[in-house]
Amino acid sequence: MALEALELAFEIGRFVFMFGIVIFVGWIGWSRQLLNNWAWRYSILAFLLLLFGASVDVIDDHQTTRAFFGWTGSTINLMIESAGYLSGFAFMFLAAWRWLPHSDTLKREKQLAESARTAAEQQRDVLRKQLAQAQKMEAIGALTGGIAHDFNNLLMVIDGYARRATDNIGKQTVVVESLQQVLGATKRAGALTKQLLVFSRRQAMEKKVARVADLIASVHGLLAQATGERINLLLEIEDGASCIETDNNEFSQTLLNLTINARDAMPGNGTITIASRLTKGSDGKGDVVEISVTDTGAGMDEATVERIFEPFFTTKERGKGTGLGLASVYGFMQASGGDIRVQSKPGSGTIMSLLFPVSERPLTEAPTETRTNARGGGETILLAEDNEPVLKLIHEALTDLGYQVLSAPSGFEALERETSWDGAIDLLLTDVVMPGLSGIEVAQVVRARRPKAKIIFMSGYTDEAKKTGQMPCGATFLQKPIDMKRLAEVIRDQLDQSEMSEAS
Amino acid sequence: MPSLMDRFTDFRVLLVEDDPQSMNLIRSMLNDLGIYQVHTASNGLKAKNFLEDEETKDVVNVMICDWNMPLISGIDLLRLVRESRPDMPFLMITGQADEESVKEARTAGVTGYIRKPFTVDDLRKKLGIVQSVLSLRSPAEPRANAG
Repeated sequence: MALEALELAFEIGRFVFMFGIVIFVGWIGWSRQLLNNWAWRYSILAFLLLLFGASVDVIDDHQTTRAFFGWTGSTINLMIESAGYLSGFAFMFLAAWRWLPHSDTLKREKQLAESARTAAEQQRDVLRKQLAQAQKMEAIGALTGGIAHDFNNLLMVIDGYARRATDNIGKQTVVVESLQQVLGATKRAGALTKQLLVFSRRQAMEKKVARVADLIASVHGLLAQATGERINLLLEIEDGASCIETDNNEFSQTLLNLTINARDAMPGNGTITIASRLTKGSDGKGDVVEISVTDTGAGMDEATVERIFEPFFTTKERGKGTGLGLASVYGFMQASGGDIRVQSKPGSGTIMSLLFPVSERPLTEAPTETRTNARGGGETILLAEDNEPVLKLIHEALTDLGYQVLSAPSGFEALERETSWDGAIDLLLTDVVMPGLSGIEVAQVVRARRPKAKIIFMSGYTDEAKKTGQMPCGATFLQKPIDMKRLAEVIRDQLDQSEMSEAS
Repeated sequence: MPSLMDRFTDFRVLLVEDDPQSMNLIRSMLNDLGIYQVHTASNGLKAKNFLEDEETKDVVNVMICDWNMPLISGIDLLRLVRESRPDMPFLMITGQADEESVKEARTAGVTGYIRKPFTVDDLRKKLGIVQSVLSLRSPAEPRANAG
C-alpha cells in the first residue's frame, strides 16, 4: 500500500512536471509566435499525447492497460519516457534553431549594416554637393561685386565709343579710333570670360609640349611690365632644357598671377625671383620641373595660407582683386597634372612653387608668326551655324576674305547644300550644337563623302563634343566667341596643310 | 543611278498627312523610291498613338509630316516626338514657308523641310541625306553603296 501510494505520488509528480513543460513550451511558442512552425506544433502534440499517456497510466492500473493494449506496463513506461526525451531534444533543437545566430540571420544583419552605411554615404555625398552648391552660390554672389564691376566698365567703354562713332559718322579718324577702342574693350571682356571659364574648368586647354626656358622667356616681358620699376625681377633658370606639357596662354596667365600677387605683397621695394629647377616628385617617382616665384614681401600666416586657393578669397582691397587669381592657378595646375606648393611666414616672404611633370613627348612646333596674308583664294567653305546673326557675320567675313561660302542655318540644310554642290568643298566650318542634326553628324557625313575636306568646329563649350568622342580625326576646334582674324588664320592654316600633305 | 533604288529599302516611314489625295501621292512617290514600308496617319493624334503604342512604337525609323493639319499641327507633333525621340529623322512638308515658322521648326529640332510642290527627285535628295546620317548612327546596319 505504501508502495502504491508512493507510485501514485510519483505519477502525479510526473504529470505535473509534464504539464508544466507543456505550458512552458506553449508559452514560449506563443510568445515567439512560432506556433505556425510545424516543428513546434509537432512537439506540442507530442506533449499532449504524453499527458494523455500519463493520465492513462495514472488512472488505469497496469493490468487493464495490458489487457486492453496487450502491452506490458514497462513498455508503456518506456514509450512515455522516450516521448519525454524526444520532446526534450525537439525543444532544445528548436531553441537552438531560434536563438543561436543563424548564418542567414548573420547575413541579413550584415546586409542591414551595409545598406545603412551606403545610405549614410549617399547622404554625405548629397550634403557635400549641397555644400559645394552653397559655396558656388556664395561665389556667384561675390562675383556680382568683383567681375560685374569690370564688365560694367567695359560696357561703358563700348557704349561710349560706339555712341561717339555714331555721332561722328562723317569723321573717319574719329570713327576708326572709336571702333578700335570698342575692339580693345571686347578683347578685354573676352579675356575676362576666359578667365572665368578656366576657373570653372569648362574650357579646353590647348596643351603643347614646350621648353621651360622658352615658356618663361615668352612671358618675361609681360612680367617685367607688371612688376614695374620699383621691384627687381630676377630670373634663375637652373634647368631650362626640360619640357613640360601645358597651355602656353594659361601658363603665362598663371605666372603673371603669381607675380602680381608677389608684387602686391611688397608695397615698397623688393625682389621677385622666378626660378626653375629639376627635382623629384613628391612621391619620389619621376622628374618634375619646379618653377617658383619668390618674393621678399610681407608673407602670410598659416590661416591665410590655408585659404588662398579658395575662389574669391582675397586679402586685397575691395575692387582691387577678384579673388579668382590663385583659384584659377590652382585649377590650371590640376588640369596640367601638376601640383602647387606654398611656403610662407609672416615677415619672411613667400615662395609659390609650381610643379610640372617632365614631358617625354616631342616638342610641339612653335606657332608660326602671325600671317599677314590669311586670305582666301576662291576655296569653297561650307558653313553651318544655327544662330543667324553669327551665320551672317561669318559668311560676310569669309566672303570678304575671298572665299566661296555656302552657308546654311541648320545641319540638314548644310548637307543639302553639300549634296547639290557640284564643285569641291575644301573646308567645313560648323557649330557643334544645333537642333536637328548636330555639327558632329554633319561633319561625319561630309568626311565620308568628301574625305579631303578639312573640318573646323566652333562652339562655346568643348565639353559636349569631347563627351561624345565622335569628333572626326584631324578636326580643329575653335572656342567661341571667335575673333575673325583668328578664324581667318585657322582656316588658312587648315587649307595650307591639305596642300602640303598632297604635295608630300 | 540604278543603285539609288536599293538605298532606301531600310526605310520604315511614318507619313502623317491629313489630305488623302496628297497622302496617296506621297506614298506612291515613296514606293517609286523603293520604300514600301510606309505607315500612314491621317492626323497628329493618330501619329502620336502610333508612336506610343507598345506594338508599333519601334516600327518606323523616319517621319514625314505635313505642317498644316487640324488639331495637332506638324510642329506640335514635332515637339511631341522630340520629347521621346531626339534623334528620329523628321522631315516637314511645308506649303507656306515664311521665315518665322521655318525658324520655329528649326528651333524645335526639325531635321529638314520638303517644300511643296515637290518631285520624286527632291524627295530622293532629302532622303539620301537622311540615309547617310542614319547609316552613320548605326554602322551595323548594312550600308548601301552610295553611287
